[in-house]
Amino acid sequence: MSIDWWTLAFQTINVLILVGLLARFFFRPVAEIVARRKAEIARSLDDARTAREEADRLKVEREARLATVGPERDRLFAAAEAEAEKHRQGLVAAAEAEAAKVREAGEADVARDRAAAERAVAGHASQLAFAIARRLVERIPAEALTLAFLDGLVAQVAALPDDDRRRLAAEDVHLVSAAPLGDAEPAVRAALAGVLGDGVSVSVTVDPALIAGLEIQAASLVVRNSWRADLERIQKEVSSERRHAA
Amino acid sequence: MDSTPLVAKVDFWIGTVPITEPVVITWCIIAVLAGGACLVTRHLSLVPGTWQTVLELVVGVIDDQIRVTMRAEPEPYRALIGTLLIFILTANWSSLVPGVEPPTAHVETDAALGLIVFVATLGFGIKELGLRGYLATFAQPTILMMPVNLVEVFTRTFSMIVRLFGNVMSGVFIIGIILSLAAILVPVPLMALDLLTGAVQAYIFAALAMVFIASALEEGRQQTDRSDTP
Repeated sequence: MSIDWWTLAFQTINVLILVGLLARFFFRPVAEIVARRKAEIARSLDDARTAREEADRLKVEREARLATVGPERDRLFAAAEAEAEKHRQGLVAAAEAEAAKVREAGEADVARDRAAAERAVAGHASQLAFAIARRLVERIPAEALTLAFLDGLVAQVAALPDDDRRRLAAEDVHLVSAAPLGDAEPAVRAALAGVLGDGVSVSVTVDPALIAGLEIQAASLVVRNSWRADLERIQKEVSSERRHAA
Repeated sequence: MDSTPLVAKVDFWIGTVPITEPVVITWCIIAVLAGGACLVTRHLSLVPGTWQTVLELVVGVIDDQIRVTMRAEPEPYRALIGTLLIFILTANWSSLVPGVEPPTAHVETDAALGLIVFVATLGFGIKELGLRGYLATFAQPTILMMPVNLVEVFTRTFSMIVRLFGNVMSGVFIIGIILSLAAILVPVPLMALDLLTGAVQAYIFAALAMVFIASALEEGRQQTDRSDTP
């Protein structure tokens, strides 16, 4: 047996080359991937440990918060009740104000209705008064009644200021009578001539709406001495007194 | 004597340089191993598949053996020890291919492996202790032991070479003889035994390499401990 030195040299180089090739293409990549996996596992373990510590911390924090949640809940309930009471009072006040407004509106309506009713009653009363007066007038003779009102008319004309009386005397006097003058006409004309002068011109018309009495109607003024005028004046006075009383 | 395993057959010549059959077969083995390594490690991922698990198991077993035998981290020695193991195993098992004679059945290949282990032992020892420190280990425990220690270095390397060569070559011899005497299926049990022997020899060679390198490192550690002791 002899040694072939060339073969020895070649095989030495071959094995060294194989060492280099396997180190480069086999051992290093496999060892690196194993090391990377170990590092990854270690990192995952670290992450898990960190997550567990965080979970423990959160658990402690949550327990601490749970311990404080009772007083906090009571405080929130008290605040909510106070707020509800405040809100309720506000609603009650608003309802009361609204009720007062409705009540005032109702009272105003009632007063308005009552005034209207009173006006209606007054109207009925005046109509009733007119009816009563008319019945009374029918029982008294027309001439006597005319003469009775003539004195009052003459007195009113005499009470006029001189200027008014002179202007009235200068105009055509229109005498309105509630009933035909009949036999009393000369007396009436004489009385008017006595207070206005002899040259006064008097025309006579009949208006049963006066009920009773006489009225002088001229262009410048009117002198009223009739029951209708008296009743209308009384009705105005009564209405005025009621308004003042309200 | 060209048919005997003791003499390497020359396949061709490059000028005056003979390229023998073990060299050509070794080139083929290198091509297969390097190409296979490139293929299997091309798509490594953090989530291993079946093949990657096998690869990682192989590397993990080699690393564990280095840790246990050498009591050191495997990184500096993984490529050398692992390559020796894989190459010798592949070379021994190459006898399964018809007409192929294992390169390790020729003493030149085993001598090359022994030479590499010898140089690696020296290199790692000198790297650990420095040249003078490593040479000083030969004078331990007394300077009178220096010749014995020097002879030991060479003889243990020589024993590695002879052990591997003798086992593999004898297997080839026996199978060749039986093949020449019996039918073709008769040597199959012996071939199976030869595979087992080849695996065991590959492991023994790698283990011895680890032991030799570790002994150089261990002497370095002992020297460091002695120098640290007041």
